[in-house]
This record gives sequence, C-alpha cells and structure tokens, in this order.
Amino acid sequence: MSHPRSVLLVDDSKFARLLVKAFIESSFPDWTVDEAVDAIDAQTRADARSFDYFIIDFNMPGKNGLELGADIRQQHPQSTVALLTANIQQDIQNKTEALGMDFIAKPPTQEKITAYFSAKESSHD
Amino acid sequence: MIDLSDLERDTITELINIGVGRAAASLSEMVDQSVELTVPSISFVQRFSDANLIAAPTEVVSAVTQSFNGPFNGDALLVFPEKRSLELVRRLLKVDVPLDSLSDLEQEALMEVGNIILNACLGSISNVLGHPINCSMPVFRKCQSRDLMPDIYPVSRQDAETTAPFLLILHVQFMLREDDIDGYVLFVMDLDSIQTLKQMVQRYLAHTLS
Repeated sequence: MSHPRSVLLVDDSKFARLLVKAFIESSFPDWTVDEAVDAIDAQTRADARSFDYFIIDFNMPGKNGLELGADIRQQHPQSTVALLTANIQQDIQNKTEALGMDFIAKPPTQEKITAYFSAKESSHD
Repeated sequence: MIDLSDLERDTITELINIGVGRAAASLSEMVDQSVELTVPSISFVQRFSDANLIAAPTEVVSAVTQSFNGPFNGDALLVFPEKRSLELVRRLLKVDVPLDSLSDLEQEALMEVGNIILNACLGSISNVLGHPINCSMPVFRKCQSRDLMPDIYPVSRQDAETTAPFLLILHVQFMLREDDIDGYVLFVMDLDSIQTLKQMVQRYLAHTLS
C-alpha cells in the first residue's frame, strides 16, 4: 500500500486539471491534489508547502513548463517533476530528460496516469 | 503557382498523414472510439475564402487555432460544427459533471483538445524533419466557417486572374462514427513557408533515399 502523497498540477487548462485530478483521485483516493494555473501560482504554492510530485504542462502563459520545471528541480530536488504535454517533439523530450524530469505525453488517460504513479511509487519502495 | 513535383507533393501529404495520424490516435484515446480520417487534400488559393473545401461557408463552427513558427510559419486549425461540439465535450469528460457546467467547460475542453491534436500533428512533422517548431497558445473562436482565417491580402476582382495563388491549404476530415461527430484540421501556409517546407522535404528525401 502506498503512502499518501501530495501532487501539484500546473496547467492553464481547467479541463486538463479536472481530468488529471479525477484520474489521480480515483486510483489514489488518499492522496492530496492541488492545482495551479501558471508558473507564478505554482511557485507561490511550492514556497508555502512541500509536494511529492509536480505535474507540469509545457505550453502556458508566462514561464513555460520547462522553465518552471528547472526552477522546481533546483529548489526541491527531493520532489519528482514531470512534464505532461501535448508537445511531443523530440527536442522537448530531450530537454525534459536533461533537466531530470519525466515526460508524459498528453492526452492523459486513467491508465496512463495510474501507470505513471504506480511505477514511481514502486521504484521508491 | 508554386511548383511541386509529384514526389514532393506526395511527401508533404505523407508528412501531414503522419501528423494527423498521430493526432487521430490522441483523439481516439480521449473519446474511447476509433477515429476515421480522409486522405489530406492540398489546394493553392489566393484567399482563404476562395478555398472550396468548406462545404457550408455560413455554418457556425467552433475552432481552435494555433500559429506555428520555426523553419516555416503558418496556422493550424481544428474545426467542429458548433451544434456537435457539446456532444464532443460530453464524450471527452470521463468524469461526472453537472449538465449546466458542461457549457462552461466547453471552451476549455475544446481548447485542450485543439492543443493536443494540433501539437500531435506539428510535433510528429517536426520529429520527421528533425527541426523544432514553436507553437503559440491555442485560441478558441466561434464563427462562420468562411471567416476562420482573415483575408490578409484582399485581391480585387480584376487582379484575381493574374495574381498567383499564395496560400497553401491542407485539409483533413475526421469522423467519430459512434457519436456522429465530424470535424476537420486545416494547415494554412504562405508561399515563403511553402518554399522552405519544399526545401526541407527535398533534403529529407535526399537524405532518406541516399
């Protein structure tokens, strides 16, 4: 049984946040899932409390997901950071990897989200 | 008129096929059903409103537009008839949402679908050609289909016959048979961009065939 974890979803799309949050909560009912609408909002929340996971969209107004991810990796090296994006270009995937972040291709599905967190949790054990 | 050899035209069509194929796979994942695609058609026109690909120019559509730039520039559009777009949103939402908030979410949902589909398309084209392409934030609009793109260079009737076409429009239609929803994806590029794309396709062909 996994420990209760905390997740911060960063996506400017309310629809994307709604889906991903529902998928996480359905597979991991005791986890807490917070939402941020952009990088500034995410930074404020990350300063206020710690998160086990950051799931970040790439294409957002203001800082993009790679820029935010780089900051978060530096400030919270113990957290797991993943880029969840529709932008499947090799260039973006390479940059994501170079920053020590995971890459998850949109669209999010129940299976994909559950598989991602389950794999991460079992590698922690 | 831009001069494309059969092989170049075929390669561009195939690139779009790969892109739209990946996009259809994404859409299919989102709605849990198969998505049928038509073969992409390429047409050259002077103005967007000249494109006869739009069967019903006055039909109101929901459209998501993303501009892209990189080695070549243009606009990618995902278009659905307005009357079916709520149905699509219902299919996309796998979680229970009260009906009255469905229309609140309509724009958000379609923007995200547009973002996923158009990025899947452009991303796989970029991966094949080996060049990054930047995409702008998606923009959502409801309008008549003939007004999807502004006519940037209005051409007078007298000039119309002598002025060379300068827009390339790629059109792919897709259908979700189970829900009777259809829509289309458009790529609109100007002549400079088509020249660049043509050169990249030539290099790609030379590299692949060598």
